Amino acid sequence: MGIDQDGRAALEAGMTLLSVRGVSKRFGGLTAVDNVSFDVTAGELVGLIGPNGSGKTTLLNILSGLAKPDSGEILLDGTPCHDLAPERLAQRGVMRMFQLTRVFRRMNVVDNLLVAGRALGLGADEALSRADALIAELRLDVVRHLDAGQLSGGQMKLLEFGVCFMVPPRIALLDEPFAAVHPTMKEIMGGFIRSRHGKGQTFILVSHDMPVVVELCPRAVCMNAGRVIIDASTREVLNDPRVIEAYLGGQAA
Amino acid sequence: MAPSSPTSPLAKTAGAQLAASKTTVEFRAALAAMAVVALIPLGVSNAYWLGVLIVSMYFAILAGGWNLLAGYTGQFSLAPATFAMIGAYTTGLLNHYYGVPPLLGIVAAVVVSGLIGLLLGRAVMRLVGPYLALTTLSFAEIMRLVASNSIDITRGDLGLGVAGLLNSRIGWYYLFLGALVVLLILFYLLLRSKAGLFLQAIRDDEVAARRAGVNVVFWKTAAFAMSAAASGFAGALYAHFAELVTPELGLIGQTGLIVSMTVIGGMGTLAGPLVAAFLVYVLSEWLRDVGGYQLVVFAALVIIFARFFREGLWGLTRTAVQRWRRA
Amino acid sequence: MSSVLTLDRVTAGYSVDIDVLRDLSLTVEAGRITGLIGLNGAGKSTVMKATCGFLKPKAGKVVYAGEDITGVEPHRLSARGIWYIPQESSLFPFMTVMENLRLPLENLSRSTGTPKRDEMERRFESMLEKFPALRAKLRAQAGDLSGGQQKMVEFAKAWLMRPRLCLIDEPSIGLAPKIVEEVFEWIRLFASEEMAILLVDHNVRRVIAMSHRIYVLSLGEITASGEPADFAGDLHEQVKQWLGINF
Repeated sequence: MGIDQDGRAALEAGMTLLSVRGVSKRFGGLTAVDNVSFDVTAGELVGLIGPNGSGKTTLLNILSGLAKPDSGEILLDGTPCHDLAPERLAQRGVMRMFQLTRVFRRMNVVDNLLVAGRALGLGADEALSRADALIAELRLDVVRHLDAGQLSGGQMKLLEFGVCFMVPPRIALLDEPFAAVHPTMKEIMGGFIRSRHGKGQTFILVSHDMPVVVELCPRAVCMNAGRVIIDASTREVLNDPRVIEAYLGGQAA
Repeated sequence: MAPSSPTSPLAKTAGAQLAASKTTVEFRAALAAMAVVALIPLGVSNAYWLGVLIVSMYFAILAGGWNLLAGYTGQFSLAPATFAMIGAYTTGLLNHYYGVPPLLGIVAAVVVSGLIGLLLGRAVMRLVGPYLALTTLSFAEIMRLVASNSIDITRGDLGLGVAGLLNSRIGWYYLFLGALVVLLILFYLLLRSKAGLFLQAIRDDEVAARRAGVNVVFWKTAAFAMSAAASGFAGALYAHFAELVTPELGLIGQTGLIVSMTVIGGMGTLAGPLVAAFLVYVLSEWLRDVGGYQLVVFAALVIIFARFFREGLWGLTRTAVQRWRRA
Repeated sequence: MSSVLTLDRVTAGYSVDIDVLRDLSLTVEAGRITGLIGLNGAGKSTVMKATCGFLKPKAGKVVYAGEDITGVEPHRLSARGIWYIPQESSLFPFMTVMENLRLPLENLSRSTGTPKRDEMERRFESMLEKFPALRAKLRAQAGDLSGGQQKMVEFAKAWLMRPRLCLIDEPSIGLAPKIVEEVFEWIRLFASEEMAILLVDHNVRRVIAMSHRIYVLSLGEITASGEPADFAGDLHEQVKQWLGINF
């Protein structure tokens, strides 16, 4: 998965990497995701914002295979993928970071990363050297031999983040990576995202931290009550009265 | 990569903390225990107690196999004894009716148990917790009753006579020990391979494992098959040791012992269940002499360990060693 | 007006190195509704948890009616007059509505000696007057009720307890607009009985309209506070400030 070459080429070609078409999901009487459609071009860093209950997490669950849409489809590189199991999507390059960290608590930091590396096709040596590089970049060197369960909350978050990048994914789905995190960690993750984005890595970033969304994402999609209410440049989105209304607690227009 | 270079202070701390990985430490401890077991006949020649130790080794294999399934992939099957019984009957029936030599019979037992384990594993894939336990329990009891009632074929509770393999008890002692060590080595190699990474990941968090690309369905099924094959092997070996196969091998009480050994020893650890198998079985034999309270004692121990000492005796030992090192 | 609850420079978080709340101070007065608004992830629920003892603050104090209650366990606080209405249902689904209502009051009576039996009956009647729709539902299983009806039981339960301080966490989430109106009527009722109320809700306009004092929580810190009049201007501009959006 040579993201550098492919990524840059795709960006130049304006290739659609992910296509969400008319996706809906209901839970009993509640429509969590309502006819959502948008495309993500290869190399884009898209912000996904919206108040709680707007359907962002459900959408991310659908994109990463943990939930199946009731209607609509999702195309990855032109091929339908909405009925694939999470591990198959990971193999295809869709990596999802959870909001509440899920690490392998009784395995050490290196092994946590190796699981993803080996599962996604790397050989033992290559996986180890990639893991070492990631650990250095995320400044987790000092704790590399500790079990993940012994890490502090912030370190666990960095590890959770790192797992997604053992093998450069086609698209990285980041679910509130900056929530309640130390400024130092924000910097590490932010810098990481920026540098990878510069090399053509595609992201969807869910965040409530508006300054970070402004800083990192040229484009934003805002959801409210399950629907997309606006999909435009971040500046336009954050100036749109419907978006502010959504955060004020109003329902979708 | 300065922080990891051999001379940096960080490397020294990291290196000192874990000279060998956790699994290797557990493996060495298990080998040490096996070495102790190997030396016992030098001091003990009482045939009865040697027999008790042989049966302990039989249970050690079963506990190790169940540990792979429950300790590493979180599938709490209540059928480990059943697969031992299936293995025993496979070699037993082949030997009794067709004169198949024991060694071939044992191989057949491994294959048959493994296949049935694979099928059962697929069948219960989507079940969790109590539902998985109940389904495997039903399977266990059905199999035992089938064996018990098919009197024409299996001779039911009267037992099926089969050929022996060795003549001396000491021979059997070292054969079982050899088998146990071989399985231990195989298990260790498995855990050190990428399969080991995946199994531990599934143990810790199945959803996170899937997110990381692990084919959880495949590995859970594989664990089921491997566990069943190991149990079948133990059962087949035991068949030729006892020279008799009865449905008693598949009694739920036997599974109860296996579960006790694994929980008390330490689920998800390499050495725990192995060592606990000896302790529990020897203790159970001793208690049987003393007053027959073994089931009550083990039930209480399982509850205490499951509630307070999740990592079992192995975990307690490790904590004690760490404290002793720091002091 | 006396201050019933004071959070004094509280810092709290769920992990050693992650602080959800930083140096946070606020006051809730008797008979007044204090509103807490902010984005999700800002820490509103954490404020509730730190106050009630579900989360022990790392720094700072929680002072209730003059006493330091920092870190005191939740079950001890109801006897002291603090009641928490959580976002999720706190009803026992397999018990009847009647049992759900009576249980905390009888517990309180047993552990503190008051209220006595006749006072309990009096409160029960008063509750049925204020929440008449519950009369017909007393024998129903709590889990069978609709979302709005369950919320009514929650508020009726709180009403029976007559707490001095009531913490209300996102009461209108998932409810139909008509029921939401009723919910806020109940909150006004509580305030009229001299209860001090700390109200968290995502409906910013509603909270501003109802509260006597409003605090804005952004990324763990109070970034603005004032009375409804202070929020009268262009709310959109203010929200953008709270969100930290400046172009």
